Amino acid sequence: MAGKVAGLQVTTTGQPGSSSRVVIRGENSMTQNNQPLWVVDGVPINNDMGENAGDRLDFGNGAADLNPDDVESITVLQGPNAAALYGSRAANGAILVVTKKGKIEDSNLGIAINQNTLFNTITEFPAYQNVYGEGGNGFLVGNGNNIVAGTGAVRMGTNGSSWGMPMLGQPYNDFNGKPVAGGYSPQPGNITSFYKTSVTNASGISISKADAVSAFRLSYTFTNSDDVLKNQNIIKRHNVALSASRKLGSIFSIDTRITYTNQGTKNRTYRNLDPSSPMAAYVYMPRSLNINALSPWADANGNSVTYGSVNNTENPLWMLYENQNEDTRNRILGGITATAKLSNHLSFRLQASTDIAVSGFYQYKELGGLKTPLGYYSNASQNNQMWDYQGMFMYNNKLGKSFTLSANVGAEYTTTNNLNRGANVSSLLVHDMPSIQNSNAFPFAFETKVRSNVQSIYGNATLGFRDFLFLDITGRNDWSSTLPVANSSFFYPSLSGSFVFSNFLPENSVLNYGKLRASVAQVGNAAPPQSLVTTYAYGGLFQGNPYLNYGNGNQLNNGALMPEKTFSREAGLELAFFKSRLQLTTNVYQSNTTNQIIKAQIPVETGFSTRVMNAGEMRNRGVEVSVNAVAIQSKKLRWNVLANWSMNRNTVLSLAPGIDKLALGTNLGATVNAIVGQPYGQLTGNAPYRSHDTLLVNPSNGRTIADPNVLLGNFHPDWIGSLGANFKYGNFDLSFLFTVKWGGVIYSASYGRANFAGNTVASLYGRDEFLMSNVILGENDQERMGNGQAISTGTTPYADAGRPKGARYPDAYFPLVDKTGKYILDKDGRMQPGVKSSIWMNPTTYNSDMVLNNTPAITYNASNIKLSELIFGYSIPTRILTGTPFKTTRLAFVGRNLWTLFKHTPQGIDPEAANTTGNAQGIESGGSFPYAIYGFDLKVTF
Amino acid sequence: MKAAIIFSFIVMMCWSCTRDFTNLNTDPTQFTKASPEAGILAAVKNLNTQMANYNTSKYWDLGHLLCQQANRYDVTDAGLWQTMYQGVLGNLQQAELNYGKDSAFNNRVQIARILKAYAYSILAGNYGPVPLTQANDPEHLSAIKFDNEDSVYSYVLSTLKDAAGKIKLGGDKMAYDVIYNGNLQNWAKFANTLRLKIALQCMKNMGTVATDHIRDVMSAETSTIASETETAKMNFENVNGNENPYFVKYIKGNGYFPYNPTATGQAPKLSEYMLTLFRSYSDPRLSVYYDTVPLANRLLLTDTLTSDLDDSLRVVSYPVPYLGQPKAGTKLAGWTNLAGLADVVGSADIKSYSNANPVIYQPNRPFIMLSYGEALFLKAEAAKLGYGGAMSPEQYYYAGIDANFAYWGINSALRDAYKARDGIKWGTKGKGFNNYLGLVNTDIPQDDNYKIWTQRWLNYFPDGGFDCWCLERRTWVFNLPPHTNPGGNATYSPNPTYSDVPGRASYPVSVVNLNPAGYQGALEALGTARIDDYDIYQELHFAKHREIPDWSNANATYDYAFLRKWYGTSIQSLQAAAEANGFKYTISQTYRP
Repeated sequence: MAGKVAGLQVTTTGQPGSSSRVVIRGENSMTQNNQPLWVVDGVPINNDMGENAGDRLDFGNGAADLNPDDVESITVLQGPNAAALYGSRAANGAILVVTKKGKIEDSNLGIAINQNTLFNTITEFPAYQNVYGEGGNGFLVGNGNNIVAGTGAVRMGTNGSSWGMPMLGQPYNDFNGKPVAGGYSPQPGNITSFYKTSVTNASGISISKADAVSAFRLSYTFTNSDDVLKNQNIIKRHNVALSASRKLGSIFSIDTRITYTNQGTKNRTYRNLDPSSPMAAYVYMPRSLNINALSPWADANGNSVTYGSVNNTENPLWMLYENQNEDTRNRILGGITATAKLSNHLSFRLQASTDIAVSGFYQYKELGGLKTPLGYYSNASQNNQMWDYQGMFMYNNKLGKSFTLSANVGAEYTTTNNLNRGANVSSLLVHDMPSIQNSNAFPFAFETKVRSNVQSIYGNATLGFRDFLFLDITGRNDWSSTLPVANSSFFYPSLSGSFVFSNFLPENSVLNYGKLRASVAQVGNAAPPQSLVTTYAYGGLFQGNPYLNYGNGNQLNNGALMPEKTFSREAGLELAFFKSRLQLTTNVYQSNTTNQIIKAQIPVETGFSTRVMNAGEMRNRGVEVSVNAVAIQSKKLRWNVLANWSMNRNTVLSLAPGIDKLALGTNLGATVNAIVGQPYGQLTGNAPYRSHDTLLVNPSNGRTIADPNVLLGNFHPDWIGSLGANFKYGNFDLSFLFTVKWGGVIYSASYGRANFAGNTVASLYGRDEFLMSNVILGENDQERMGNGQAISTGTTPYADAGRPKGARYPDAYFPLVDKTGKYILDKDGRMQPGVKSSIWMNPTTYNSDMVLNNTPAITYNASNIKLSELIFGYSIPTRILTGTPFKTTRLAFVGRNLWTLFKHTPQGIDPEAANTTGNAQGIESGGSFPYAIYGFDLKVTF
Repeated sequence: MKAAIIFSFIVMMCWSCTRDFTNLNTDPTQFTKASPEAGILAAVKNLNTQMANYNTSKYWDLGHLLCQQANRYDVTDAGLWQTMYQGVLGNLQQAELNYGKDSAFNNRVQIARILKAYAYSILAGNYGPVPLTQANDPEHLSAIKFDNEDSVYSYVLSTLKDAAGKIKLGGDKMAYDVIYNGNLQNWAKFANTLRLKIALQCMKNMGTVATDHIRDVMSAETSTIASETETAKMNFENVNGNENPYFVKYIKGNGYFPYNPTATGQAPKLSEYMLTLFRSYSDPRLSVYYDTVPLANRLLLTDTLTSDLDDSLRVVSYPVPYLGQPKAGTKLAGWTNLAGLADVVGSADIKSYSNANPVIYQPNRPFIMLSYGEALFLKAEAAKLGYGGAMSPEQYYYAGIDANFAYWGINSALRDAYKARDGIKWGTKGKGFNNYLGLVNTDIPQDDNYKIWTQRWLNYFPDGGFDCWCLERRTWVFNLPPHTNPGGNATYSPNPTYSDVPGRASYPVSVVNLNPAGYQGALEALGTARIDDYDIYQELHFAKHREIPDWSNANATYDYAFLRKWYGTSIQSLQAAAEANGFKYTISQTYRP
C-alpha cells in the first residue's frame, strides 16, 4: 500500500512475521494507538500490534493474518468521516478490505491456482574495517596473564571489541586454546556469513462458482517462509476461506463467510539489540573473530563457550541453535449477514460476526548461556474474542423529480474478551527441555482478563439534488464500558457536501469533470479498558508470604475520564481533463484532537510514573495530491502514470497542566518527545557543548562536555511522495513505483555501538596515529596532551607536540577558567571558549562519546528515494490456450526494494528502520540491514 | 416486521446494559485491595533490596567497605528515588490510608509509619530536601513541593517517637513480619534506636530538638535495641527472585571473577585505604571481612628484612595474602614525585586484590538495617555527650566492639589484644600508616569520639555503606583519598580531574523534567550557587563543613610501609610464616655489615 495512497505511511520493523505500522494523516493521539481501523467485509477486525506480547519479540499484527490471495479490493478512507459507520476506532481512518466472492463470470471450472515465490536478500552490510582486531588501546591484550603460556598466543574473545592491533597473523588461539589457522587476521566475512537468501513460498488454490441465486468460493493457501538469518523466523501458515451466499425467494438473502488461519512460527528473532539477539552479536563481534572458532558453541556439559566479554554478548551460534521460541495462532474470522428487502426502497440487514484468535507461545533460553546461566522458560496462551452484532435499515428513494435520498439507521453491539495466561521460570533443571516442568525454582504465573463492550446507534443520510449537489449527514452515539458510567455515552456527528460543478461547464471542455467537496466531522473516542481503577500488582511470595505493590505498572488510573474528541475539517477537489485521461485529486485538511486520553508522565514522587488523564491537544494540517494520467492509450499499448504527494504538519498545542514535554520513548542516547508548540516526535539527546558555534571540550581528557536535551530533529518526513507507471503492451505488462520520503531524522543506535566497538571504517579515524604514539613510541596521556617533563614550576611543553597522536575534535576549545581553575561563565550562564584543545584522544574514547554524549553524530537525515516495486508480467494469449483446460495464465517477475537511489544514512543502515510500531519512531536499534525482495508470481485459472 | 422487532430489541439493549459496565471494566484477576501486611512486606523487601543494590553500585565505594571496579564517588540516581516513592512509600501510604482510622489495625499502621520515617531518613541523608508533605498524594500530581532537610528530620524524629509510643503491646499483630516476626516490643525498640541515630546525626542543624530526642531515648534505654536478637534485619531466602542482591549480582549472574573463574567482570575488592587502616591497628576483622588472595595470584612484595641472628639485611620478595585496590590508577598532574616510579599497589594485577569473604554472597544472607553493635556505638556517643545512659561511654564503646566481634565469631584473645592497642583503647591515640600514595594517613586522634566513629564505621560491614557515608559527612572521621578518575557530576566541579567524597546525591532527571517547580524549590532549599544540583560538594545541613583539599598539588609519594613487614621484621619470621603457610619467598640480595 505504501506509496499508492496519498498521506499513508507504512513502517515495519523489518523482519518476516513482524508488525507493520500504518499511519494516515499523522498522529492524532499522543500516547494511544494512531493506526487506522481494519474493516473486513464490513466488520472491524482486531489489529493489535504483536510487539508488546513478550520480551522483545514481535508476534506480528492482526491484519497480517489476511491472505492476500483472498483479497478482492482495498479502499483507504483517510479522514474520520468513516467513524459514523465503523465507530470511534476509525478516528484515524479506515482500511476497508473486501474479500473475494464467487462471481457469475467465473465460468468453466472456476478453479484458480496461484504460486508465488519470493527471495529476500541483504543488499547492504555496514562498512566494517578490516585493519584492527580485538584488543584495547592498540594492544591485542591488556595484560600478560592472558597470553597462553608456551604458545605466546592470545585467547580469542579475551577482549570484546576491535580496539587492538593491526591484524598481521599474530598467534591466536580459539576458545578451547587451540591455535587458529591464519592467526590474528582480518575476517571480512565473519558477519556476512551468517546471512543467506531467504525464501517465501505461497501456493494457493481456489474454487468459486456462482449462479443467479447463489455463490460460493473456497480457497486454501499454504505459505512457508524463513529468514535471511539461519534458523530464524521460520513461518508456516495455512489459510482457508469459505464464502457462500444464497437468495431465498425475492425478499431474503443470506451471506456467510469464514476464514481460518493457522500460523506457526519458530524462533522469532529478538529485536532492538537485545543481548539475546544474534543481531547484537553482529554489532559487537570483533573483526579478528574467526567464525570457525565459535563452534562448538557448547562445552561437554552443554554450557555456552563464552565469546567476548566487554559487552557480554552471547555466542551468536548459541543464540541460533540452543535458544528457541515458538508460537502458534489459530484465528477465525466469520460472519453471517441476512438481508431482507422489505420494499423497493427499504431493506433491513442483520449481521453477526466474530474474530476469535487463540494463540500459544513459549520461549526457551538454554541453561548455561552466558546471559542466562540458569536458563529461562516462559509460556503464555491468549484467547482473544470479539463479537459484533449489527442491525441496519437501508432506505433509498427519489423524492420528487430533483431529489434523491439514501439513508441508513442502525444499531451495533460489540464485545471483546481477552484472556491471557502464562507462567515463567528463570532457573532450569536440565538442558534441552522447553517445559514448565523443567523448573528449578517456583514458576511465576500470571493471568489477566480484559473485557469491553460498546453499544451504538447510528444513522446517516445522503441527500442528492439533480446529480450535482449532495449533502451527507451522519450521527452516532456510543455507550462504552471503558468510561465511567456517568460519562459512558457520547455522540458525534458529521456533515459534508459536494458540488459537481462540471455539470455547468460546456460539454467538450478540457475539464470534463469537476467536484468540490467539504466536510466537518467529529469523532469521540473511549478510553482503553481498565483505565479507571488503580489496582495492586501481585509480587509473589517472600518467605512464604504474599506481597502486593500498589499501582500496577506504576500507573495512576482515573475514575473521572471523559471521551476524547477529534474535530476535523476537510476540503477537496476532484478534476478530470481530456476525457478523464488526466485525473487530479487534492485534499486539504485540519484535525484537532482535544481532551486526549493520555498516559502522562508524572513526577515519581507522586508514587506513580504515569497517570491516565484527559489533557492536551494536537493538531494536524496537511495537503494531499494524487495524479493519474493515461499517457498513451492505443489498442496494443497502454501507459499510465500515477503520482502521489502529501505533507502533514503536526503541532502539539498543549499537554497536561504543568507539563510541557512528554517522553514517548527512549533508546540509548535519544529520546522521542511531544513538546508543546512543536511537532509531535521531536528527538532530543546529549550534544557536544557549544558556546555559540565553538565546540568546548573537557580540559582533562579532550572529550565532549555533554549538553543535555538538544534537539536532534523530528522523525516525521517533511513530505512523502511516489511516482509510478504501468505499461501494458500486448500480453506484456510492466509497472514500477518509486517512493520518496523527504526529511525527518533517524538516530542509529546500532551504528553508534558498532563505532564504539571499533568495528566500522569510521572508527579507524586517528587509530594509526594512536598506535604510533601509545604502542610504538610509548607516549603517555600527558604527552598526548602536549605536556612534557614535570618541573618545579609546572610542566615543559612536549617537544613533539605537533604530530597527531590520536583522535581530536576539530577546532575544539577548553572552557575559559580563572586563576583558581573555576569556569568563567557568560551572561547566559554558559561556558566560554578559552585555550584551544591540545589533547589527542584515544580513538576508543572519541567513539565512546558518540554513543551517549554526541548523539547528533549518529543522527541522520532520513530522506530517501527507493524503487519500491517493479513488476514485469506476461499473460499467455487466450488464443493459444483455447483447447487446453487453462483459461488464463500469467507469469510475473516481482521485485520490491530493489534499488535505493539516494539516502544519507551510513552503509548498512536503513533510513526507514524502526524499532517499534508504537509512537516513538525515528530510532534504529538492531534493525535489519537493507534488503531486497524479488521473485515470481504465477496465476493460472481453469 | 419481525426484523423491525429485533432491531428495536437491540436499540433497547443499549439503554439497559450500561449498568453492567463497571463490572465489565474491572479485571477479575487483579487485586483491588491489599492487607497492611502485604503492603508492608512489599515496602520492606523493595527498600532493603534497593539499599543492598546501592551498596554494590555506590555506598560500598563511598564507605570504602568494598571497591567495585570502575565505580566512582558517584551518587547520580540509579533507581533509589523511584523505589522509595513508589515501591516503599507508596505501599506504606496505602496501609496508612486504608487502615489508619481503624483501631483494629493500630499496631500495623504504626509499623508502617515507623518504616515511612526510616525511608525518609534515608532520602534526606541522600538528597537533603525531598518531597514529604505533598508526596504520594493524588491531590498533588504536578509541582510537588520539596520540604527542606530540617523539616524532613523533624518529621522523622517526631513520627518515630509518636509511633513507638502508640504501639500497644497487647494489640493487633502483623500476621506476617519478616523483620521482627510479630514482636511489637522490638518494633518500638527499633523506632527508638533509629530516633537516637537520626538525632545524633542532625545535632548540628536541629539543635535542642535533636538533643531532646537523644535525652528522651537515653532516659528509657529499656525501649532500645539491647541484644543481638533485637537487631533489625531482614532475611533473604534461596528462592528465585528472593535471594540476597549481592548473591544475585555476583554469583547468580555468573559474570564476576572469582566466582566464575572465566568471567572478566571483577567482584568488589578490599579498599586500599581500609587495608591501611586494618594494618595500622592489626585489626583481626581483616580476615573475616575479606578473603585471602589465592597464592598464585598474590602480589609479590619486595621488602628488606633484618635478621634475628646478626646485623645482616636481606632484600626479599614474598606474596602478600591481602591487598587493597586504590580508587583509580590515574595520577594527578601535580603528583610529580611519582614520575618514573613503579606503582606497586595501583598497577597490581586485578586478581591480586582481596575479595570479600564469600559469606556475604550467600543467597539467604540477611540484610541488616540497624544492629545491636550500632546501637551500642550510638549510646556511647550519647553518653559521651552527657545525655544519659546506664553505662559509661567507655563501657558502651567496648560493648560495641564486643558485639561486632561476637557477630563475626572472632575469638576473645584476638579481640582483647585489639582493644588494648593505642588508638583503639579508650583514651589513647593511635599512629597509623600513610596510604600508599602518602596522601592521607590512618591516625586515630586522642578525642574518644573518633574511636567511637571509627568502630561504628567498621561495624557497618557489609550492609551499612549508606551509614558510613552519613557518618563521614557529619564527622569527617576519616580523611579519605580522592578518586582520580571521576565521572558523573564531577565533570561540573571546579577541579574535574579528581573527586572527593560527595556531599549529597543528585536528584534524578525525572525531577528536573517532570517537577521543575519542585526542583527550583529544592535548589533554593539547598542554597546552591548553580542553576542545577550538580555541585557534588554541596553540603547538607547535617554535615560538617569540609574544605576540599587541593589534591592535585598534594605531596604524593609512594609509601608501602603499610604492606611491608607483613610477616614480621626479620627473615626468620618470614621463614617461619612461609613454612607454616606453604608459600615461597626469594632473597635477591643480602647485605652484611
